Amino acid sequence: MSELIVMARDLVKSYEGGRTRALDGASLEVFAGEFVAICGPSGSGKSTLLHLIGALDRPDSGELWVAGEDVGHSHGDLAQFRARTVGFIFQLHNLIPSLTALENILIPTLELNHTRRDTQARARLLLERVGLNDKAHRRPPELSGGERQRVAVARALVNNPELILADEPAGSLDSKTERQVLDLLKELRAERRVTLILVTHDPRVAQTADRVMEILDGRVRAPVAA
Amino acid sequence: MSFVGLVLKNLWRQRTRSLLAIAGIGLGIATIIALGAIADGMEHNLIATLRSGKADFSIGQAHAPMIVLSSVPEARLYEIARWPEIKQAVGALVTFATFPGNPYFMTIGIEPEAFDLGGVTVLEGRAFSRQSEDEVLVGRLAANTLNIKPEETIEIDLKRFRVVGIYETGNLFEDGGALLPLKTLQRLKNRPAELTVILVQVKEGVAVNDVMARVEREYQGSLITLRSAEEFNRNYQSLSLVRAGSWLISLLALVIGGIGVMNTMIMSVFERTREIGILRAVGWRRARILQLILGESLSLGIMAAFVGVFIGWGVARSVTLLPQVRGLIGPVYTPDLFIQALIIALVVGLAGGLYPAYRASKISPQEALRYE
Repeated sequence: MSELIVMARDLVKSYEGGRTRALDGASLEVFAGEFVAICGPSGSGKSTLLHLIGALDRPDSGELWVAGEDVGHSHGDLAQFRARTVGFIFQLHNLIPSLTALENILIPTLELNHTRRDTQARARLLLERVGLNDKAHRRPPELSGGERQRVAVARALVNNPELILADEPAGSLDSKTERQVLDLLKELRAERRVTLILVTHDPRVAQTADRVMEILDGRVRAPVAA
Repeated sequence: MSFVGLVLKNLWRQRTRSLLAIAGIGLGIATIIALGAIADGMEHNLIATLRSGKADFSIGQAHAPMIVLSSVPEARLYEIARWPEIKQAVGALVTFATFPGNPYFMTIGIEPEAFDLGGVTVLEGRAFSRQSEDEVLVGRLAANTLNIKPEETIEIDLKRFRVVGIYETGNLFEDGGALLPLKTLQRLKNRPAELTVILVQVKEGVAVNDVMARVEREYQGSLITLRSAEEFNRNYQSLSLVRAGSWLISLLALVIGGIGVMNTMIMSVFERTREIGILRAVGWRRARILQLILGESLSLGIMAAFVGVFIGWGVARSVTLLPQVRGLIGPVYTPDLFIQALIIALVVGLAGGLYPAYRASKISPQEALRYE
């Protein structure tokens, strides 16, 4: 059995001064290299769980360890952790509209002290890998929905993270493009041997994962699958 | 893409807003440059008034508000001229006369023997004779702007004079006026036995400082010696008023410019809340966000510095062409002035960006990603 990359125990997260409880004792374990889908209806707390794993936010209580880091109790700025360890892919691509595809991919590299030549080469390689080599200098408004999401995939991978967190990565795309983006994600995960945690409301999308966990009312229903 | 490239790109995205902010600070900088260059020019010319030529130092009245308003009894000249260490001492009376077309027409009463010590060069015609009552020399600048030629007759303070030559000293005030025999001017102005300044040349081998010290000692409280710009500034504070005025106007312009930058950057941060959230989500530290926003406001300051210097230079130059001040104002551009303007522009850019940058760095990535 490979090592644990995510270990969450009894995570609780509330908003609006406690009136909205997004997570109510959620627990899960994810092993390095796995492709795990977290499936649940809208408002079930799946995005909140993903944001906590990605250190975008902190739980109110519970234990959360990600790639050896005590994300649940860390009080410092976890930006460096995010830059090195995590790659985010959001439902709405969340690219910066004024920057070209290549520049958007390079954005996370500015935080790490890598040489410019090295980061440029990595970004170019990824752009080629996601099939957008000829669109390196196009801005997001000049790209189709599928192309934008492929740029977002390349951006998530540019710092060679251990963990990819995808929040409904194909939710805004038509079914054909959706399949293409999901296939690309799976291929890249296999090639780069990274862990992929995908959040979706769509059971069809969830079925493409190695393991599926359901989340409902802020609790993970199948926390550790066999 | 580099970090600096991203900073400039962000400014370019909102070019109209960026340009307005640059114009805001730029005008403040232009004010500093224009007023500063004009004040420097006035100072330079006043200092140089009757301090050119071969004179080692000048003597003026202590506590006079400006050197041209100094009043020294002519008797002092004769006393000092007899000192063994003095090679030559001459006196000059500086006054302003009413002259058609120039409200600041400087008239200087000086003996022809003192031309050398006063740095006066006769360009055309000849020097006036010592005893003449109606001969005058006109400065090169006055001759040009007022179109006066030798052998013409001009009227100074309602008295007619014959122009016998054109002179130059290299000083804006002096070259914009006229030279008259000392006694003639003293009579014309009804200031007999009165001088504005005494020019002194010491004998070879004598230390100038020792002689200056002797003057200050023997005429303590009534006369002062002047040799450098610093001494001038120390002794004549009138220009500090001009400086204070120019600083006050500049300060006002800069406060307005600073508020402009702050407004621009706050708007920019507000509009980019989601974008800043993305940057935080992909791993940018708070400090990096701070650097980004401060980098943008600082860049506005740098660009404004260049725009301001250019506009200020143009304004100061244009002012010199106005007939009302022609011959009175000659802007002097010192490196200090430009360095000062650049530093102020940077400080304004930085100060205007501090609060917006702080706000931006406090944006929570998770909250920002929900923000539409």
